[in-house]
Amino acid sequence: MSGPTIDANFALNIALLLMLVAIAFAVVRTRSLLAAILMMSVYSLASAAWLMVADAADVAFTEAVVGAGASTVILLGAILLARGEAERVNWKLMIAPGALAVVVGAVLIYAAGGLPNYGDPASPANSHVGRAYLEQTYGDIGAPNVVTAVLASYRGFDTLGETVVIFAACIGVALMLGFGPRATLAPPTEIPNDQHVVLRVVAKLLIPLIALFALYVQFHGDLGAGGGFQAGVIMAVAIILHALVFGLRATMAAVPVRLARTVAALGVVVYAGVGVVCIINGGGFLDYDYLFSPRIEAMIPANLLGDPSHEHHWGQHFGILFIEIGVLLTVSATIVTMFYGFAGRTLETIEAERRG
Amino acid sequence: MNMGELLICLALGLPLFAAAVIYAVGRMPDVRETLTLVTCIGLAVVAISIFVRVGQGQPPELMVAQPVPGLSIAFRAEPLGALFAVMASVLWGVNSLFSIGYMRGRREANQTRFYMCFAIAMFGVMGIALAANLFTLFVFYEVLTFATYPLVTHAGTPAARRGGRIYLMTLVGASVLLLLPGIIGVQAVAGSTSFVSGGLLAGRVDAVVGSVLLLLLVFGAAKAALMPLHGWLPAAMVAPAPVSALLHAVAVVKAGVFTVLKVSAYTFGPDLITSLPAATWILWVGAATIVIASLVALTKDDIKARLAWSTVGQLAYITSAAMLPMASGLVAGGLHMVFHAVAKIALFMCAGAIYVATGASRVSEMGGLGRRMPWVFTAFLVAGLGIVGLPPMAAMWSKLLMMTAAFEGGHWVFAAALVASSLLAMVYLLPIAFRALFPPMGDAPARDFVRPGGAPSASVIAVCAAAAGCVALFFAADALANYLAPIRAVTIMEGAP
Amino acid sequence: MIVLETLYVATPALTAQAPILAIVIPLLGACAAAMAPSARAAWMISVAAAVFGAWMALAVAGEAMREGVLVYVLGGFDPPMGIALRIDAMGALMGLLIGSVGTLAAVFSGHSLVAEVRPEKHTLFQAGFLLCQAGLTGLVFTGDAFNAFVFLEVSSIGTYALVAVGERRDRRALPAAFNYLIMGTVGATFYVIGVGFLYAATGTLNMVDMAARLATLDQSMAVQAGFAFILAGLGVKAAMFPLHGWLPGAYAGGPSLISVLLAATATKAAIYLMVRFMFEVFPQGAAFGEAFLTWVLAPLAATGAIVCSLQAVFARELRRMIAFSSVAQVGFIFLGVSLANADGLSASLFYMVAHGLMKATMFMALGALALSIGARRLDDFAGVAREAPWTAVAFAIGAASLVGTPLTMGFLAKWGLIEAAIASGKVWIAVVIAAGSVLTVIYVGRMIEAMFFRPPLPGAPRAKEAPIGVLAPLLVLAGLSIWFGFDASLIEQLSQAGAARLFEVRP
Repeated sequence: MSGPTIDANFALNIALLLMLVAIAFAVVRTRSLLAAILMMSVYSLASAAWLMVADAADVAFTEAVVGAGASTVILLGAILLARGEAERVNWKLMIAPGALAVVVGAVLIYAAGGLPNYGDPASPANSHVGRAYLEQTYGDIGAPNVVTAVLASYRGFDTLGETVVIFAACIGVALMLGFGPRATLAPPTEIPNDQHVVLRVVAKLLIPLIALFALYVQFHGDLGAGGGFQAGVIMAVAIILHALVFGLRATMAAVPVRLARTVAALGVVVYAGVGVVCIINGGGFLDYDYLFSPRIEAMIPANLLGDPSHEHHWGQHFGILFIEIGVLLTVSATIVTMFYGFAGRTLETIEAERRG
Repeated sequence: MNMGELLICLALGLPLFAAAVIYAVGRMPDVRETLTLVTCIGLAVVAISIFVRVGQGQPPELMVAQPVPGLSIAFRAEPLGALFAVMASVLWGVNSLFSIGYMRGRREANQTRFYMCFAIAMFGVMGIALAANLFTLFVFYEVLTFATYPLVTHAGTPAARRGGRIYLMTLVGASVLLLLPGIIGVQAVAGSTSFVSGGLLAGRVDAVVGSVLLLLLVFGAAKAALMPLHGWLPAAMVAPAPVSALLHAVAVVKAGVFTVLKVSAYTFGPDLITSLPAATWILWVGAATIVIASLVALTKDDIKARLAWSTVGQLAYITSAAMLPMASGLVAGGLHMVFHAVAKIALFMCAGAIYVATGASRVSEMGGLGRRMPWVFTAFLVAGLGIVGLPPMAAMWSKLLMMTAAFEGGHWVFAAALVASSLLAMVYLLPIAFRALFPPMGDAPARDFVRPGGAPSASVIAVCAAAAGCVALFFAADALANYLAPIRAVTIMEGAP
Repeated sequence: MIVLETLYVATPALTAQAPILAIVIPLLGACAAAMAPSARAAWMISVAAAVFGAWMALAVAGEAMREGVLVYVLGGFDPPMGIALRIDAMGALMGLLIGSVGTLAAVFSGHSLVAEVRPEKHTLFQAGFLLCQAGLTGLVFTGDAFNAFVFLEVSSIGTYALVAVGERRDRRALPAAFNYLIMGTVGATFYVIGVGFLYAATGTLNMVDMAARLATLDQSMAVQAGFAFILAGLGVKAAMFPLHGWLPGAYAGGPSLISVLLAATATKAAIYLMVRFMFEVFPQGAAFGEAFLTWVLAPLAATGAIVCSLQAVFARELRRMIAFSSVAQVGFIFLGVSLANADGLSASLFYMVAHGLMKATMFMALGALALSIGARRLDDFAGVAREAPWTAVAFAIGAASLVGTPLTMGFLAKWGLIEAAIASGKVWIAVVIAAGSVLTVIYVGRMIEAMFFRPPLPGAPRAKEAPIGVLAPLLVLAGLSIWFGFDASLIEQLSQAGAARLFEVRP
């Protein structure tokens, strides 16, 4: 950005940020829970757009599927259990949190003054480790998408941890909400079936397509934006759509509650298992270079993919593939479990659970 | 394991073993009490053996554990500690005899817990007596506090619990807030807390640090009941008489003054103490305590309260004497510790015997009782004279030595306080015995026995033995003084490592 | 190190992988427990995984003592490109604490869950418990600032729900868990914001690399803000006064098993991470430095120690008393840290272990009592020593250690802290610790008096002695407090070595 000229990118940034601020205030102001949830969804979408403008495609993708998509669905499921309107809050109760927010905001603004300029190639973030990633990824890993390489290989242990966090959330929701009586999900039974023909037909067409798209995102992660997290959410959305249109009972018959929990655990097992296999083959934990024992490695033609001078590319390639599968399993199963946790619960079933 | 180590193990192990066995055989009172007596005798033998070996110049030593470097649980007998051990173990025996009579006579509840806590308290006393450093002493000092808490609250009444709370809070509070920081301060200054002949801190501290440490340690040993930390002692008189007798004439309070004596002799050393301004301040506080406590004792009608206040004053003698090591202050303090213990335990046991026999606990209720209980009141008279310090009672010697030391050090006020307090003691103790033995004409007739047969004979025997001890020690005073002499013999830096 | 070597036997190959196995085995155990067919199977998996984790932690401790610092590279990429576990004596000590308490808690869970948690939830509960253990171990072993955040979340997320499950015993567990969730999430967010600033300023996430780069940097506003955010965020997790609001409810409301684990390890791990940031990542004098320690940390810690001790004195419910006591003890630990020297830090580390063991003992004893009586108020515990003597004695040992009774570990801990304070010339800190100890005596005295010296309330449910499966781990825990009161060389060496390394003073 040279001189006082305002380019289109800058204008877009400002517009999106202003939009984010406006939505944030609106979320705080509104007392309708439904409106708040929908506006948060819009907030996520806007920030996804903003991240896209900032060239963070992977993050934008995640924000879009998780923030705007999955969490909105789950929150919508949750407000079925609450009254539609939040109570008016006494302004005195807002003083302390408000003051805290002001202080934190002030510190953030203060600190921003010490940050390097956006996009500065000489900034520490771009010159030290970040630069090394850009320079070495192709040689080390052989994957074109540096983001995927960093997430799945260089810092694959973090990603394992994040997968475990999601698994922990799955366990948490299942512990809190996963038991007790259920009503079948209401809409399809209340309204005569024929009115839903269009929905059903479209859903039947859409669900396989969504699942297919999930798989595309999954396996395309090496090359472009995407990976197990995003794919997992999309896959879960396909299942949730099924439940919304065909009823919870039908979905639970296809994907039982226990199966969902087991798959969530299985995802972590797959991920950590890859690491353990690497140990067994003589490497460190998650050192994909040792994913295959030398005997198997010898059977793979060295120049099949990527730079033939690097002997372990197959290990890196398959390592990332396998752990992304693990992520997919855990994420999709967790979101389905969360949906199950809220869906089908009504105030009556909760009351029944309390008595039982 | 050599003989010395074995003796120390026995001295500590016997009471603990006794506590365990008492718990196990609690349902059989005869076995339980026989066992207590046997243990008492055994412990007394062990203590005397240690006493003798120290006299022969072969002090027993034992190193138990070193939790972290520089901090060890270790034992080493020396004259003062050996004397304390002998005194406590022998008087435990006498007192156990008395307790058996008292507790059975009163049909008290929870007797097993009573004897068990007693034994654990003796374990604490032995540990204090034989401790080789301040840390070990502190450990057993706390054992003693907590083991005696159930004894103080034995009655279980709200009053007993209130008294127990004051007892516990004062002692623990002082030891955590003052004694422990003092000990840690010593550790920080000297790198160790060992008792060293001639004084660990000698030559290592200036007057300010030394004074602060001395104040922390002396006031921290709240069991010595130096004012203003004396409140727990009258409060603890809610305990049954045998408890008061042993714990508040012998074990607990003497553990306090023993700590002060040890600190004076081995942590600071005679020379350093004399040079510290804080020692003089403590002397003044001691003199004030002596006089005030004696005056308060005069006003008390409850006999145990009167004795308790008397104890407060007498303890201040010893604390003050420990601050007077110019000449023979330490020896005088050590002797008085023993002599006062014997006399005071006799007095408390008399009070207990009277209470069992007649239910009387007030001085005003005891007129003419001497005719019914001649032995007990004669013993009371003898022991009372022992507190006052008239010949042929042992305490005469210790008071004499203290006087000499006070004059030598030029502490006239303290000397005056000694004289005044002796006179006051005559006034608050002797009339009790006189009015009981020789009631004036026209007095109301004496109370009747509430227990058929009067005081249990076990108790009477114990009372008489203790009173006889006061007289016997009169003749042993010289030997004891010689025995204690080494604690002040080493001077100027010799002992410092 | 004789003790370590006699306790620990393993092949060299296993030893080489011990740091990661100590994390991954509980993790895999959690997955297995979630898939387990029955509650009993889940329990057995839980015990096996916890034992294995503790064994590996032992191996790590031995290696860390031998080598000084143990580095385990993950993914084959050397830091700062990749992530590495980095364990010194301090981390090894925390790992040992987490492993050993976790193992005993796992054994204890067999009976405890039956009484407090609905049967169909057992498998998931065990999974959450193991996740928590894996997360805490990872938190203390990792050498990467962001990885620490991930493990902080692993240990926290499951815990929120585990606390809420306590609603079966005490309905107030639900709001307590919600409170904990909100405050914990705010804390974690602060932490990650702080790490973000540091990354922007240094371009690295590896703590050692970060320290090296910070040492050459001017103190920019971003670095200062990063430091503040990290400390505030971890302060919430560590229950540092006045950020402790979540703790009493969470400890008091959660199922006994979770109280045991949380009280013994969770706050300690956060304090450990704070110490790493204060003295390792930020070179001394940087980002507020001494001024922060003297004028912010120490006064807050002292206030917390006194105020929360008073709250414990006046609390009516036993669990809340112990929980408030925990906040107060955190204050003691921070007082030692604020001395900013090897002695103070070593004393604080020692105190952390001592406090972890004693609080675990006390909560486990309450859990053992909860098998038979659902008492909450202190008065309801009157006279339980008669019905459940062993449990009561174990509780009393934990309480004695809390007070700082000689010959328990708590005494040595207090001794070390006071000595360090005096040696540093900060007498007022010694005074605060002594005053706090007196308050401790008061509330512990109330507990002991009720349990041992008061007759049971008429008509109250009678306590029963716990079965051997509960008594065994309980007595082992209590025994540890006593054992280390006599011979603390193991803990002492580890904490001194850990503290000395941070301050670059060789022991």
